[in-house]
Amino acid sequence: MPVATLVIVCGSWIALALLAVLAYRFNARQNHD
Amino acid sequence: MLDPILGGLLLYLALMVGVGLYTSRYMRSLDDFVLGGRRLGPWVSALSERASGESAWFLLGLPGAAYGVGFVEFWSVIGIACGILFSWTFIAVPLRRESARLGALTLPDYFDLRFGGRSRSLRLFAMVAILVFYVAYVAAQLSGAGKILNATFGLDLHTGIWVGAAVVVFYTLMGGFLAVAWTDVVQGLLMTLVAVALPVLGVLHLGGPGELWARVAAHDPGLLHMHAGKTGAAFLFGVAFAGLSWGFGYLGQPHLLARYMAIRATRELPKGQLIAMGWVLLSYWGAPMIGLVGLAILGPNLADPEQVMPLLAKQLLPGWLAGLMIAGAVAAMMSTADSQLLVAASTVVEDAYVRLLGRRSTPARLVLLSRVITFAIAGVALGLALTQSGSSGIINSTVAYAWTGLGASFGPPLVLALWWRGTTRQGALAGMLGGISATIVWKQVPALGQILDLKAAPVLISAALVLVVSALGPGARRSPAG
Repeated sequence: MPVATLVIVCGSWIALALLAVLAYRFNARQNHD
Repeated sequence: MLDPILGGLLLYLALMVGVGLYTSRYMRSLDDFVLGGRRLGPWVSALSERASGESAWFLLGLPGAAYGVGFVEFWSVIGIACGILFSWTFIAVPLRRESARLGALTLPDYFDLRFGGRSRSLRLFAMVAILVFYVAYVAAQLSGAGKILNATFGLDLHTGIWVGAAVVVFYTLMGGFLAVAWTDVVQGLLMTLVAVALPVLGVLHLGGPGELWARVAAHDPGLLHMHAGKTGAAFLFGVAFAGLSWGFGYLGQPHLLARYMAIRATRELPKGQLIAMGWVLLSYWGAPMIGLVGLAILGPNLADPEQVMPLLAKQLLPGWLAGLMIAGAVAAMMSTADSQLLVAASTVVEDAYVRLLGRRSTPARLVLLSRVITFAIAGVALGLALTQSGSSGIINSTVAYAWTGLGASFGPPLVLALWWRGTTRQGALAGMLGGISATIVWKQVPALGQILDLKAAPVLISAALVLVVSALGPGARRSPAG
């Protein structure tokens, strides 16, 4: 399994999970505005 | 004795029909039929959005594409996940809030009312885009039903298409939005089960991931890379960006945007967003992996790669479990086709009959009319599916076309209308027309796809038109709503 493939696929999954949490906070703040 | 695969599938189909019959008792007005009376909770709203968002493409088209090109298909998956995240983050809350404030039931309704309620042309072109692209999209889903039943039971393709159409149309007619949303919940969970369990069981069957990589590499070592043998600009634009640009389409799919509009309160949307992204992270890696595991187990000579998922389920699993997995693929098709039929019928009744023609009717009569129109639109899609059945790769290509057409027609005008006070009616109209035209031109002239991918170019053209016409064209700085 090429390392580049592994890094791109796993890295993007971790990044998406973090972004989802940030987006949740942003959405919750939109509701308070 | 009943074939166990058929038994599992029939049980699932009976459950869908039962939901349709049960929810039909709540169908009293057009608002109930179109948005379920805006009373969905976050779980139903999120799972319904996810199940409707992932069509036959998810468990047939995407595995079929990965079967052919390998890990390159993960660019599409990453782009799609980004598109879903963007849509839930920047569209869901303002659209729910604004559509409720304006009293908009459909997306054309929102566009018209957002610009002062006098924009018949905006409403008309939005309707045309919805009808044209959704007929093609629903036809692709019905083709999916034909392929699944053909691969599983050897049923004639046309008969399979008829069976799929009959069940979807029945419960959509009976229960409207609530039936569609509740069947979506079952279907969304079933799709996750297939996307996670089938590749895991496949890897266990092979003896571990090492054996999977070895077998895939034995067919073609390039399948394990994400560059498709390209370098430089050819890789950046032709491979990575082309795959990632699937994400643009999520900005403007009316059948998904309706889920945001139907949630019972804006404050439920952040929770819905977490549930939807949880579904994506849990399920989405599995669909392309089904293609790769299928290549390793079934070999490289499938007549139609889009049948890899049902064929793999039959090969790996005992009858009843294979039936359940295959029901998951039918679920992916149905959960999308039902939502799209509903949106197309809603736009004819609400936008054309009630708003453009100014007809007034009793709530019961409007529900009846919605059912008749749903039936008629399904008939046209069925005719299209029957004429194009049997073509290899038809789901992938038709979905890419309709997906882009809707994303380009509605995405940029919607995002800018929600977030930029300077967006004008003329700007939104120019973006919508530019998106529709560019999609058709890009589809008809394949050479243009070499310059910029079909899934990206129409969206970017539409966005540029909204910005330029709103800033410089007639009506600039005189927008009535902010």
